[in-house]
Amino acid sequence: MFKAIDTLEPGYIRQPMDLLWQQISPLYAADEDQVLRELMPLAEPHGDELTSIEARATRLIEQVRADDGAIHMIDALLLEYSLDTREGILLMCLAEALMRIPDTDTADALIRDKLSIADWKRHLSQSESLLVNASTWGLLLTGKVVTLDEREDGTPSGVINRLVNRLSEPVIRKVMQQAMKIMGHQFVLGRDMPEATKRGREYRERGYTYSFDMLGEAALTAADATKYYTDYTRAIDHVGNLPDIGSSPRPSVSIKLSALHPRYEVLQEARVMEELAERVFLLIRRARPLNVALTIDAEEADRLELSLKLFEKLYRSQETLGWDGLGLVVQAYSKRALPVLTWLAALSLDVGDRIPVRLVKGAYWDSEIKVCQQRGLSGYPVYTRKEATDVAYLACARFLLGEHIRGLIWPQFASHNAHTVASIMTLAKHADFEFQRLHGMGDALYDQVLDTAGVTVRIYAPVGNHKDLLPYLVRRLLENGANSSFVHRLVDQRCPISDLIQHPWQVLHSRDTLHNPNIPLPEAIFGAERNASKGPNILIESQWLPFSEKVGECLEQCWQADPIIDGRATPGQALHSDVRSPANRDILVGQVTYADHAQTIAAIDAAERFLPVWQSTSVTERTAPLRRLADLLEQHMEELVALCHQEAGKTIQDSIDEVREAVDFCRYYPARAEALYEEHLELGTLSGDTAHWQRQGRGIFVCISPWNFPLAIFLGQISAALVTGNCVIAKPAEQTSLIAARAIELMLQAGIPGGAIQFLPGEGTTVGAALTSDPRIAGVAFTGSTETAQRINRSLSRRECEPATLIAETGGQNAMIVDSTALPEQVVKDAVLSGFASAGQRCSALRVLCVQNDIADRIIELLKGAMAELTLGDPALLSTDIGPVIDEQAQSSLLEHIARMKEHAKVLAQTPMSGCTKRGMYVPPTAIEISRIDQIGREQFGPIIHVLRYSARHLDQLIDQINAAGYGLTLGIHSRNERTAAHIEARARVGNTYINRNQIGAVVGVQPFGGQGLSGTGPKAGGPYYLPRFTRLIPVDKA
Amino acid sequence: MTDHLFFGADHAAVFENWNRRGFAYRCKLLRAALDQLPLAGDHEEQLRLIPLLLDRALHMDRVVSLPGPTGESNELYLSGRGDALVFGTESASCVALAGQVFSALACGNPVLLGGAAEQEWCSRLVTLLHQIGVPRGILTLTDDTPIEALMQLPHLALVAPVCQGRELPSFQRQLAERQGLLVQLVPETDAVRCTTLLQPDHLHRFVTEKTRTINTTAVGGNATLLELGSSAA
Repeated sequence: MFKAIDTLEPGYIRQPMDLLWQQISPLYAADEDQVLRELMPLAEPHGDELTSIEARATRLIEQVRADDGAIHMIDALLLEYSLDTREGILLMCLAEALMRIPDTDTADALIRDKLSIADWKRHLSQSESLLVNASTWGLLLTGKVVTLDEREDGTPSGVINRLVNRLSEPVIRKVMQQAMKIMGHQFVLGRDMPEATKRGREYRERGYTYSFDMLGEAALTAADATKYYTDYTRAIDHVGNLPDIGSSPRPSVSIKLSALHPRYEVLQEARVMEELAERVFLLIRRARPLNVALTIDAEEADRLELSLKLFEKLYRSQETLGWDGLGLVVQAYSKRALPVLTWLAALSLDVGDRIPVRLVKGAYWDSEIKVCQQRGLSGYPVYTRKEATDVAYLACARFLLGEHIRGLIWPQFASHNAHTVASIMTLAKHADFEFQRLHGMGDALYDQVLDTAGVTVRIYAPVGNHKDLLPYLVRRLLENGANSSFVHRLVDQRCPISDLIQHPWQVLHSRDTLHNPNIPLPEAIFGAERNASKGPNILIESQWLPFSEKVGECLEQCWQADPIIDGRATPGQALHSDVRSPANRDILVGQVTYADHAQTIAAIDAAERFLPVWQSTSVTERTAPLRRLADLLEQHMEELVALCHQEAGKTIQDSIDEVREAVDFCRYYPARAEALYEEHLELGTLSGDTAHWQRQGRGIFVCISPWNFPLAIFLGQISAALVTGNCVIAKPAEQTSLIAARAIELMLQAGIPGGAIQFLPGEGTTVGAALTSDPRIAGVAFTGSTETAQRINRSLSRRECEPATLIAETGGQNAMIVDSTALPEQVVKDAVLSGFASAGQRCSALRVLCVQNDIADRIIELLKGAMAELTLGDPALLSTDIGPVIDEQAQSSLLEHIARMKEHAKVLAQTPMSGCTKRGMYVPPTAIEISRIDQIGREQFGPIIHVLRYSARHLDQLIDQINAAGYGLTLGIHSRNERTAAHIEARARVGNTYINRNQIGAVVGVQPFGGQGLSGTGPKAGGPYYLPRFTRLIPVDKA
Repeated sequence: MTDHLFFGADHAAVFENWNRRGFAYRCKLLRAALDQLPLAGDHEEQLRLIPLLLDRALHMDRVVSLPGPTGESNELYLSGRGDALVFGTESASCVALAGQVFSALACGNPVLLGGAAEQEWCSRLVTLLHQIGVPRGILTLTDDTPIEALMQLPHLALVAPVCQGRELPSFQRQLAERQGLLVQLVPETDAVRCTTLLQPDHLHRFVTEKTRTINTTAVGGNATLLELGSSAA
């Protein structure tokens, strides 16, 4: 474990650099308490530090509060409309979306959506600010006006009211847009560099300096990256030619790597280290002669290690050698922050140039927590308490201010917290550092610092037009508007100063646990019911390297699948077949022996023999081996991932997700089964008595699974049938028999009796047909095409016996509806993922992207650009985004569809194929513009997105069109208008609707999955109503 | 033959409205019929069965919140499947027919009531239900169209007969031969004791599930999450 206290020793950073590097990655998701126990001694105030810090902080706060100009009107507004009020949230949402909406109807609808549901009245006269009270009146009136055109039940009201509404809407819209611009003005220095420097001149004259940042989020396309690059070059040129002003140090420029390259990702490390590096070199070559320092901004935790590798390459290059101007940002909320600083110090020592390092607390905390929970990671890369981040910040500060670091790193402390500022000033025994603050925040605080401390204060100032500021603005609003934020409390006179000057070390020390018990670890989000499945983070070196090494070893394996009857593999006399990888037909993955008719009958006989035993086995004895199976699957993750690559052509993350889903099924259904069988079934009768019933498995269940989820759905069906007391005959898809066979082996190893599970690899026409025509079969769980489900249904119905239960999950013609309030970049990211991930071979995959006319051109442009950046290839490679389709038949059918559509529709874009795809079953991701949904015909199960424009006025007709297709599986909605989203969701006849996110990857127990109409019979897999369909109720004689 | 023949040209919109009214509204509406149910030999049994079914249907009104990662909400709720054909064969009883009709209606489905059994009683039931507010486009009594033909209606989603067990394979076969969606067969084969109708799983055969996932961070939900990081526990 990393010893934090050792970093204060001068010799620590003199260790070999690779040793220091190795300290970084393992801390990614390290135990939070352990990491904090290490850091606490560095943050703990010693001697008279505590009293000194408190005195300084108190002085600062008193001075700020005494300053009449300290509270900006925005501060007052945020104080009144804090983010713990519904009104505050609504205002923030409006700020986020309003200005990007091109059409007035949709803009007005959004205003109506946000303003009409809040209680503005209670904010009246609550603030001392005239502006806030005036705004409240405005919002109150606006809220009233925008609701005039609806009756209580939501139906349109009379003509007069509508007229009032129509007349007032343009005014309201203008007022709201103006209000948003005022907010933007608060946090953005200027729309372009001349405006920014003009506006910043006054501050420079007072001694401040600037680091200019070009507004804009991550580039999705090469064109956007080029635009941002050009913005940066202009900014550098402009800053480089600024005159010196008084004592103000030279301004610098901050750059965001994700804005400079559309694939700044660990998965594309080679491109980052070449293409992105080259682009930054160009900026360095431009900036250095002009004496414009560059700072590389920090982004998401997953990119930290990549950013350091890139930084090292840039920093060690000839272009940078001898220059103190290339710096970077380190986020204190990261568990890896301190080892990163030690590595940077060692790097500086090695090369000889001082590195400017901006220490921030970190701005992506909420998304870091969410992503880790979604991906089932082993822990969080950030601290879960705010005070823990503050402690980490002070620990890093003590290191940075150490005498042994002086001259190696130029610390730039960015904070708006008076206590943090006072702490830095107390800890510092020299003046070789600077403070940084954001434009529009902490003015009064830093005016005091500038006057008294004699330390440089640099203002981080975003520059750009209003359209680009929205995501930035939201982050600032979140930072300022939260009740708990220091900035918020600083201007809130009701908050006692004593609360503001509490040392975070003391606060954290007083907690029962160092971590936040209100934020469970990713594996604990389902509480006591079950553990969530785990997966490695393939973007983190310390997790990826050992994982990939083991996967690599497994890729050498050759697998064998035979029918397994009564727990024994029985090759028999039937057809042996070679299994070849869809990614490369030259690769032999293994051999499979298909079951013959005699084996099929033998399997049914075996199941029939064992059924009474299994039905009388207690539910807990049935569930225990499935839970053991879940653990075994996690233990064999690497082998199963290798199998998914080789046999199913799945990419790395897809393969991990596949295993995770299987694990989740094997834990969820046992938990549900135990609850189901605990129910006391005492039911009334028509004669007024009560009767006792109990659940029992239906009998022998046939599970017929698809190749696209060869492990997850395979085991999902089987585990549901087994835990409810059915004996199972499993028939996997022909294409993925090897994975299925391996799963059955693990199932037997976990303790499922051989009589309970029979395994019959084979073709549908032989094995499947023989099974579904046998009268001993009580039920079938099937996932696959609608046509096959119909065949199974017919086969079952031809038997002269009680009808069998058929649970069928079938196809979809899944749409995503995007209105003009949506964020285009997010839409395209989600559309690409929904349509092309897993080569589009998911039941839930996006097939029809429906875009409101007003933003369609922009969305299509982004979609084309994003598709151009995708990589097709070997699914076992980290850099591969999209693997092959399953087989030749699928490939030719999809290519035929594309060829056919070329004649009747417009192909918008197609991802280029590389040479390495020649030996595999690849289909290029393709976007096709259509004018009607029925142009598509039947479902195309591959990487093809059809784009359909629609007019906002015809939204309901669009929903009718989607419903009329008859399928009803998934639907995506992108809209910031919650009423619009709710309206679409309610009207669409689909099983799973996803709002403002992608529409794939349903999680067991979280998003029960299954459709209606042509898409399936229900009940939904992974949901609370699934298991009862595998059971029947039988009367119990209580006498 | 089309469904419009029975349900009217604006059937889709009528179904949508009925379905969106919710279980609570429908149960309340249907409960009003209890006092006026047309008399039959098993009237008392009807008065036991129907309230029980409506009570169960009322419980289906709730939206289930599902646990999951922070920053998104996941909800599950139930909705009507679509057009339901309810009929009785010779052995059918009024109570079982009523059970199937009330089940289908309470769950939000349009009902086509047909068959040879208890025709007069069925006619009076339909009249009553129309009188208490069930829309005409939601409940229709068939003419003398044979059941075999009704089972081929293109938009049929489920068939809920009251019949004998031995009749089921034939119904199942006819439904399986159709094109399009897999029509659910939800029978009651115990016309006297209604053992299937009384079972807790029965009503679930009349509904379909809908899952709604919202990325709440896109509309301000991250503010709540950020507050969590400052919680003092």
